[in-house]
Amino acid sequence: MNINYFILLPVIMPIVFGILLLLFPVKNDRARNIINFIFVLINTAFSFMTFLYWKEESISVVRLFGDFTISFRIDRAACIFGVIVSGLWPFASLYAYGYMAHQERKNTFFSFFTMTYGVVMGIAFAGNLLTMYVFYEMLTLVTFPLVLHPMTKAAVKAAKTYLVYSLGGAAFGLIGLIFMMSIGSVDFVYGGCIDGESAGSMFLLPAFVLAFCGFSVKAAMAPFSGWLIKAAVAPTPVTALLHAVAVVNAGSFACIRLIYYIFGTDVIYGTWAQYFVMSLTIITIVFGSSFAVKERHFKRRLAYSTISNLSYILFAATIMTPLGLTAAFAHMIMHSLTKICSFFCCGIVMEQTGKEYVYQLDGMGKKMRISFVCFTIASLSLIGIPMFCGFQSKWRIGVAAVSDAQPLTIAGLIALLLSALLTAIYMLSIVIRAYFPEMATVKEGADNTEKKAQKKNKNELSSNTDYKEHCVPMLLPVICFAVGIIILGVFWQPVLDFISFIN
Amino acid sequence: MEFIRNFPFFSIMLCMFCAIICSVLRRKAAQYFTLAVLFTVMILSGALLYNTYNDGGSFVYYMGHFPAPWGNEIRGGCLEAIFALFISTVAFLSVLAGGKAIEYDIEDKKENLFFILVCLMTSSLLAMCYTNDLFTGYVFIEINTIAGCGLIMVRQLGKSIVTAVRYMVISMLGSGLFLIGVTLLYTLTGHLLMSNIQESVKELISTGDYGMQLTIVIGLMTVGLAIKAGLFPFHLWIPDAYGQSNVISSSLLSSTVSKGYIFLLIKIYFRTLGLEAIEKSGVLNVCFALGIVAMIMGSVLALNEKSFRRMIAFSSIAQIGYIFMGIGIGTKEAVTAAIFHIFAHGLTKSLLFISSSEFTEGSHSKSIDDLKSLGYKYRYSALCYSIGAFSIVGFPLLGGFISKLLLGGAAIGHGPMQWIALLALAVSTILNAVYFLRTVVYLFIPKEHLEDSNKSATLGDHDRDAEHVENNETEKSEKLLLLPGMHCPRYVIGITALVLLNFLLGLCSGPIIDIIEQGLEVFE
Repeated sequence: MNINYFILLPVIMPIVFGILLLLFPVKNDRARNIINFIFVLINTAFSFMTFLYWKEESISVVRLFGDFTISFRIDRAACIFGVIVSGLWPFASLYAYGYMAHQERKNTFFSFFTMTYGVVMGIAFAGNLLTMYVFYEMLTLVTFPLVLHPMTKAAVKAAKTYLVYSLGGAAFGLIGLIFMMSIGSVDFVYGGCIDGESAGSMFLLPAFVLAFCGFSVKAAMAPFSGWLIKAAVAPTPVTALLHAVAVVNAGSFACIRLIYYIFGTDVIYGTWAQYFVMSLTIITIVFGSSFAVKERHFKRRLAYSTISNLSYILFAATIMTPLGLTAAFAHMIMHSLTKICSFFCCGIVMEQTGKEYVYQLDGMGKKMRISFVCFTIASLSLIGIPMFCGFQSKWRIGVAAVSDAQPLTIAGLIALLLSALLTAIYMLSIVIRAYFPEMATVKEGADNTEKKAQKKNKNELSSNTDYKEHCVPMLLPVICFAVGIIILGVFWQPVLDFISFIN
Repeated sequence: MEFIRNFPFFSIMLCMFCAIICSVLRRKAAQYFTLAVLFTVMILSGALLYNTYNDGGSFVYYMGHFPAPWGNEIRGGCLEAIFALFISTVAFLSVLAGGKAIEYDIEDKKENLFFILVCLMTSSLLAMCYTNDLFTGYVFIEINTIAGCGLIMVRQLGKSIVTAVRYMVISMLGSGLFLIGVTLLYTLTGHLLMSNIQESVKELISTGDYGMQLTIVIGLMTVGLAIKAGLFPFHLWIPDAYGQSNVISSSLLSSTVSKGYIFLLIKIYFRTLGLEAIEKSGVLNVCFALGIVAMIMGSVLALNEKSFRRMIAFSSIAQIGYIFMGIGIGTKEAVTAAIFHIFAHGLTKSLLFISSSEFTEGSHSKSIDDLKSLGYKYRYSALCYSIGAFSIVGFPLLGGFISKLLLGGAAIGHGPMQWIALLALAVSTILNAVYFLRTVVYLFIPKEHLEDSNKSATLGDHDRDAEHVENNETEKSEKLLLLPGMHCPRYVIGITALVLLNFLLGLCSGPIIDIIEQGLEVFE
């Protein structure tokens, strides 16, 4: 038994744990939460240990056919993604215990929730495209019951949409996989594994575009982003999981792997394929932010914001220079932290007050102080104000775009600035409403429901309805994230050193 | 091993004799006897596979030690052996898992009749697989048709009789065309044995004579067998035949019978007529085009289907399209992929039909809409059904995924074909996902929740208690969610074995692909 097989533990343990929980449900909430949390902590500890002692050698587990194996390997990229996931997971679990306290079918929920952990670690540690594809499909399978969990009609519809989009995307990703298998190598090698002979294949670029579009379905790129909005009906820990930690990151991670580790930037840089995917990401950046401004549902507004921010990552990745890769990872880290923070704040507000729409939030900032302070920090970070970590990553993307200096990257830069402005509008409008309710007057064009809601809000304000927010499992993660955003914003250099390993 | 060469003959004859003996046995005894014989055939085929794979060659066996034209020839190689193993395994597991349901489905007196038909069908499939003689092939096609007809009809509902008659007419048309093809080929070459025909056809091609006639022969045989396999424009008999018949029949018809014809077609293409003649006639392009159309149309038809079992039947049409697409590409990798897909689809489809029978029987309804929340009632079936559905959709670690990879990989490097093939693969995967996973989602939605969410708007205070009780019930059903339904051990063993075989195909496909490749090599 090779000692290196230990890197499989963070992948296998949560899956086994989830299955066991499904087979032997624990009745007592408290007991289950404690067991689950201890387990998640152990798993996180294990993954951090594997990062510390990692060696770049691959471990094959199963040989499917020919030379194609299910194999695992940890490189820098895997490390970054793995740290994001395993670092955020304990907090997400903690929050979920608080949030799910009054919901049903908690056993099923937590078993799939924990399984997702293992599957995402599998995506991070995958040593070749085949393995990543396997875990990518499994991710759809384990997150799908989570979306379905409320079991309402809307949830069923959302779950079906999610399933079809994801599996459909994977079907196109399969084309890329088949193409690479026909070339003979699917291993992740920085710089790609396409040799000179097959680089001339006329099938290369179309295969890349199809595979990129396929994998970007999970990263919610513009024509394929419908599922993310619908999936907002899921419980907040799940949406946070979808948006910030697991699913969308897995999608963009897969795209990064595809560009830098499978096809390689040499053969794609400067071709129509690059321009095509890059323009898609630029369109998505603008599309996501402008729809976020238009959206009035709190959670769905954040969902649109995710769409635009995910395309920041993809845009940085499609610049196809080492700087672009660094920027992509930087934004992935920053966006995970910021988005999970804002989602959790949103979840606290929605869960405790039942308010779902932005126009209902007037004056809430004074009632739910901690949540809205954290939400404000997250907003400022998302806009990209200096001293918050969002600024750092956006700066990296800007540097990468300018240093490449092609017409399209400059267009992307403009889209970035425009989107920052829109971000300020859609995030700060919530903050302003929350803190300065008297400034939010009824617009002339507003419809009846909105007027009514505002009237009701005013009544509530004057009658001093009290909302509790002191649920420790839910508040603690939010505070940690807010502190993390500020710390990362100030002490950014070590992180940057770690991820800019190529320069 | 001289003795092992008798095994193909033994397995065909064992099934034949079993059919005869079944006619005098009591109903229970007939079933157990059939099971025992199918199991023996499974072991015989396994032993033959082991031997031929290690030898690396193939052999010709003279029936009764008379050489042709007096005697009859059987040919055994590892491709034939693995196909026979596949047929006998699926038949054994189908009878094992579905045997209990059959007892309620068929009149008592007809039960041994049913097992006669099962044995006859298995033996004719084995004969089609092993035979080296085209005319013997034709004879067993007819036997198969009659057995298949009986299998559909044995459930004596008005509709199933109509279906059986339709199946009979269409199948007769197919076998008639095949017979004309065989006759013409006999006049052209003067032989009925596959190996002899191949030599003569080679000669004919080199001299350039009878080019048109040869094309007609290929066309007739292809269309005849395609009708019987249910390729797209000839698919009209499929949905009723699979949807109306009982558990074992639909499982056998969908996963072994149509595959037997396809296997015979592969044998004719690559062994009897030779690749040269086939490529010259352009029939491969027709197979490819029809396969692609079937892949898409089968899924589109399934998408619009309201009846559950008919939907699964329509998906068979799409899957047969995959196989024909593989044959149509025509390279060795592609045919390997097609044969692998025969196995993958056969094992998955029988799993789907058997596990779905419990839902349709349990809810007394055939509609997809009535599947809702049945997953909590029939937990184990629902789990197995979901695994089968995921395999069809091409989920990794299951058989369907590997066959998709192989088919796609074989398509690459074939000019414009590769684009069409890969896009069709992707599109049909999406369509498959849409209609199969819809049923999976339905299975796992608790019914009360759907109704609750409608009601909740008007929920009064005194309804709250009722709601609470309902919630308790869901809590209870959640607890039991995945424990196997132990109502009938043989059923559980049967479908568990099918699920495991699916995983086997997905995880250890290497050896199986090796066997198929080696079998194709010694095919000529």
